[in-house]
Amino acid sequence: MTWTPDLKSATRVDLNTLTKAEVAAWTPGQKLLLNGKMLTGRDAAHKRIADMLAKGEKLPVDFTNRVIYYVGPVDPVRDEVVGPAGPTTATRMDKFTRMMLEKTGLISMVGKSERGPAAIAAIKDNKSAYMMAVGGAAYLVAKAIKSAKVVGFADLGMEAIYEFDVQDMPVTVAVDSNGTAVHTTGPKEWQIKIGKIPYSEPVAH
Amino acid sequence: MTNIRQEDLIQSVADAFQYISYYHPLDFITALGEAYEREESPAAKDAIAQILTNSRMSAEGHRPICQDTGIGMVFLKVGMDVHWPDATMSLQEMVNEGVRRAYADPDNPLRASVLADPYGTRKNTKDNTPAVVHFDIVPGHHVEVICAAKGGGSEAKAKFAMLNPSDDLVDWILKTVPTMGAGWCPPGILGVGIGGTPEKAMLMAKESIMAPCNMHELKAKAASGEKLTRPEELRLELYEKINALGIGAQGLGGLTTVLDVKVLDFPCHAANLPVALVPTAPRPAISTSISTVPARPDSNRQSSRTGRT
Repeated sequence: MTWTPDLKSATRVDLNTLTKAEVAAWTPGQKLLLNGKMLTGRDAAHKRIADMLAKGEKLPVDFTNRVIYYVGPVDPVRDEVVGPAGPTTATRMDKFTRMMLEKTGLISMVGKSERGPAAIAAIKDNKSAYMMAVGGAAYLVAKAIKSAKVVGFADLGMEAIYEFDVQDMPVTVAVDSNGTAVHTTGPKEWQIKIGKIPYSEPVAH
Repeated sequence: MTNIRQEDLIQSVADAFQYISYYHPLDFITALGEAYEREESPAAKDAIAQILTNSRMSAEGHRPICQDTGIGMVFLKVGMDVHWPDATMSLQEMVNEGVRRAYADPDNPLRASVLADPYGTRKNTKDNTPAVVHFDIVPGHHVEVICAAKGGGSEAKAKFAMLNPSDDLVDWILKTVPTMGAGWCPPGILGVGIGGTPEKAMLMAKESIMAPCNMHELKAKAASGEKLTRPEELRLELYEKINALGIGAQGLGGLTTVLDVKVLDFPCHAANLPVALVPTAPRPAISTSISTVPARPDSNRQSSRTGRT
């Protein structure tokens, strides 16, 4: 068994021409193959962006109509453009999501795992969407990255803002523009289907 | 009395961290492969397919399975008859030097993820040191070294509770696991530490996940009618019930959330029922063991989590 991108079940997306309207039309659980340029950032970069915006400073990169990928890559060796670069937990960026969507021009995000209520509300209010990549498939994802360069906060090392140019990077729409989250609907559906434990709404995180 | 050279311990630790950065243990891959065959949820099945493909690519390319190459965790069992004739460093310093060497390896550099001054400047130490080391002094003339590189995503989901002695521990776990979300990259292994004191429970939960995935053996034992120990009964019950939660691979919904559940217990105070949960995922949250230093790990290292020679 070898996983390869499947154009029958997944839709190709051109990040270089992506619009808010396209993002808003994505549906929960839809499989996408991302192509083109995306920015990266995780905990430290988000904190610094928030601090800079609070002080009225100009960011090193323009996020308008861009997608951010929550990742801290391994450094490349030999002919690699980047080392393994799988998604980090998106939930940690929840408290920055409204700020990113409303103050930087960002239109979508890629990470791993679920989003909390604050991020889902921000996504819904801004008709954005959140995509998940598979955590633990870092080397496979890295093979989809065709170029990488640091474009901001270089002093943060692996937490710097990179620009990646990707080809057929596999992701799934995990929160759509209506705020429907597959990390809620999926486990609920399967718990009921398995039928051994009665379903009750999960306790808030 | 066995003499162990400082350089041999350092290089063994370095080799172990390199090795686990790109090889999953066979027992884990076997269990994940079986979960793939069983899975009926298309989204979960696709996620497991990506993880299995990624695992093979990493093994072939000798590059990390996951970009999070973890914080170094080392469990040292030091024989009481061991002597360190040329040591200029403490054991903690030797382990740190091994980690430093592994993470800076020019053929396969690993990610430095450790920050000093955790609630201040959070400055990267650049070489992934220091490692967190746990020591046991045991009879014998061996040093056993278990190296684990556990990612921050699964560590973030560790849980602890001090239950009342009459509380339902299984119920607490079944309420808690869904709150852990998918950040620990299920399907994986859940470590449970029960009893002792708060720090003892957490250490047992962590140490329990170093053992190989062998749920199929436990199921076979139960099916044969052989009497199970209390921790074994709990493992089976938790495995069935956690998987019935339907969380599935990557939290997308599916049949397999845990490949195995590990339980270690220890006597505790009459007033307490401490319980700790430490999940681990299909990532470098894996350990290897090296024994009877000096001997190069290449010659006796097992790809299994508990391969002890």
